[in-house]
Amino acid sequence: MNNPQPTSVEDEPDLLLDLAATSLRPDAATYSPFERLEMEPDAEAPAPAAVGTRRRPVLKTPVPWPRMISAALLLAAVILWLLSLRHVRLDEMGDYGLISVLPVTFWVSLGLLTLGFAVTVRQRSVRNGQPLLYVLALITVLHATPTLLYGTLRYSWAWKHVAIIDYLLRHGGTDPSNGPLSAYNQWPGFFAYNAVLLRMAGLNSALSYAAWAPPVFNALMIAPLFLIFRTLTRDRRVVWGAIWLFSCCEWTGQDYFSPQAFAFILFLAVLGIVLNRRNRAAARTRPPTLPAPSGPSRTSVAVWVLLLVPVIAAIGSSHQLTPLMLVLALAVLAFSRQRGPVLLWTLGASVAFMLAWDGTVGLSFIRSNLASIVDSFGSLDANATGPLAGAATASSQQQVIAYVDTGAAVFVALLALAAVLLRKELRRSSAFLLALAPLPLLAANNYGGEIIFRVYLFALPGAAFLAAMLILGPRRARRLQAIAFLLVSALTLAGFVMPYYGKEAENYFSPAEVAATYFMYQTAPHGSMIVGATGDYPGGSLDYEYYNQVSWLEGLTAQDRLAIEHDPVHALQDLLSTSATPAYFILTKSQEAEISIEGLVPPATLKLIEQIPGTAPQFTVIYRNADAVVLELTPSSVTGPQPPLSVKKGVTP
Amino acid sequence: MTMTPTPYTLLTPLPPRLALTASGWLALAATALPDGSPARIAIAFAFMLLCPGAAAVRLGTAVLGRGRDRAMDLLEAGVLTVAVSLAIGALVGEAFFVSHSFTTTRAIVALAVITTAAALCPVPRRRTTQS
Repeated sequence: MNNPQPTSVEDEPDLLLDLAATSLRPDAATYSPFERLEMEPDAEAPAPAAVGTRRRPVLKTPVPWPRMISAALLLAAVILWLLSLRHVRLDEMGDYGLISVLPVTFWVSLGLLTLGFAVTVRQRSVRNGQPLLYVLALITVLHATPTLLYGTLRYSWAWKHVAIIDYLLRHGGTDPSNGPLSAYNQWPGFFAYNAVLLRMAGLNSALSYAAWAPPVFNALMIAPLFLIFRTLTRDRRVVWGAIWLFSCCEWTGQDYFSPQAFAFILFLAVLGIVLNRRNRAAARTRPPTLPAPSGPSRTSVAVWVLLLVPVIAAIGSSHQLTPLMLVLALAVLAFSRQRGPVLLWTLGASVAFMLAWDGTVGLSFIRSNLASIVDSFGSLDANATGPLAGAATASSQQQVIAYVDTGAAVFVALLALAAVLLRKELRRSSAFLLALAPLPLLAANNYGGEIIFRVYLFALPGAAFLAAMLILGPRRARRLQAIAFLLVSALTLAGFVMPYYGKEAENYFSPAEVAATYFMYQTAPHGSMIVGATGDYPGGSLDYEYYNQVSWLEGLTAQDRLAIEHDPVHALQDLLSTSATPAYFILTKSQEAEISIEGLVPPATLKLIEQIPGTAPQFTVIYRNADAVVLELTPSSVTGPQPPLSVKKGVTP
Repeated sequence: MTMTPTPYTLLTPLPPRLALTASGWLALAATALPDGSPARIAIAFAFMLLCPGAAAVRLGTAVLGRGRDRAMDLLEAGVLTVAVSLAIGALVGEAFFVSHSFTTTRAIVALAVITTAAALCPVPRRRTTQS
């Protein structure tokens, strides 16, 4: 270890205080407050001064030119990004979504950020401030752009999550029924938190802030990631490089206003604390240069575990998959040489809480889904190739996107694999274990066809660190490292924007679509049937307990699909007539985009469906604007018995 | 070296602990402000993101003491502050919603009581002595 040792127990600095003081430290690149790390220090780092040696005070240190260039590039990138937000024509989004309408200045801004960060990590002495600003700028550019441009909440699922919070506040409790949204009501942690926050702040709906969730959640991940990575290396270039690569590769779209994003942040926090405590425990067992300290007391272990217990409980009661991922991650770490009592107790608490919650509050959901869980168990091939299989009927552009995101995931996996093949010491690294930990779930569950993306997300912290070690680790020329990092960053960002922005035609809801949805909910009496062409419209689950809501073109059987392709008007009429109440149909621009992008029905059928409003006498147009139309089934067209109207509701959605 | 428990003390300086104690009750008082007023929103977001966790971390730090391998560093404390605040907010909310007994006042009082208890709870002082 060639780093300076604190001269006494009392000299151990706090990290953030240390960050603030780094500008005065000429050895900032290698200075670390930690005694034991898994990786050896950077061999190319400058040798530190001997312990206790007095340095001459430096009155005036010239700012290194790479740091100045890096700062200038950051400033230029931010200015260009702000300029790029003007005059974006969202209504011209094509099959490549936001990619097709963002101006050149946006891409130049992203390029400058990538270049500037490569210049930053090329420096011998990396302070924390500049890479932190770069990562924040990257997160802002990637995730705040849709928020600022749209002005409405993105993703239909985010609207569903807002609807769950509204339900909690309407009824003062969770929904006891076992309907399609029961998973949310049986793992309500995220929604309960937001409901309390809304009432405390006196806000009417989470819509007022939910659109900012992606940039905020991603920013909240930085500190836990730093906490994890700093236990693995003392080289700050690698730490920040790994955080940067994580941000470039996190394109799975699980960072929106959702329980999974909430639970993922808590997951990272638990891992960070556990790894830090494990390293401290390991430092105690190897005291060659330190005075022998006392052993790990039961009190201190209890304190750490008790601090983590509420976090574990919140993870376990907020999301179904994340507790399983946490148990797997802690379990593989428990097999490593260094364990520590905090890790073992945390693992025990995680298993106990997961079983307790699933066996009580979540039991009815698990019972009703047991068959599908058992069916997908062991189907490794079907679970892992779900997205590509689904791409078979999609538009040609979306097939390209499906292959790009698969390629991007494979690229990250190859980088991580190359790291452990080329650098033997990484094979026993916790990063490698963390990257491997989620893989068993590929064989265990399908998770609605999304398991491959979830496994990728949970493996990403470990994989990003391995990739950063491969590129920025010791024993290589820094200029070469910077070029390699630039190339890898550019490739991973290309892999990011395709899946993340490529489907925005279906994820973006115009104000006109929102207005149409609200009109429909204000018009439809309680008990009505509401049929969406698909579920991809804003507010699709608002007041969901009062309506029978159906997504027409999703999850069709082959027979249904044939009937719709043959005669969509009568197929829709038959569906709306099955309800014993008034029935409504909504068709929006984003739904049409989804139908086209995902290939739910052939283009000719979609054209026929688009012609229904105004041409089919079975339906009355009750609302129409540029982006949406709402139809009501004409009473005389009901094929079944005409039901009585229910009382008109007085709730504004 | 041995750690000898000694009578209770309050390791953290009093003003921050009093501020933490007051935060929950301030959030409760702020509900008297008009719905959605900027001050009420700021107080609510700051409290729900930081205060219960900061109080729990204060308590944990006090129990851990200042030993080299025991102490919590600032980054750990910061991460735990946010994570525990999110967690306690979620768990308190869940307790009321799952039991169908939620009211705004009950939830805020519960959070304020937890924050107050963690902020003010005295802990045994660990005195380091040479063995």
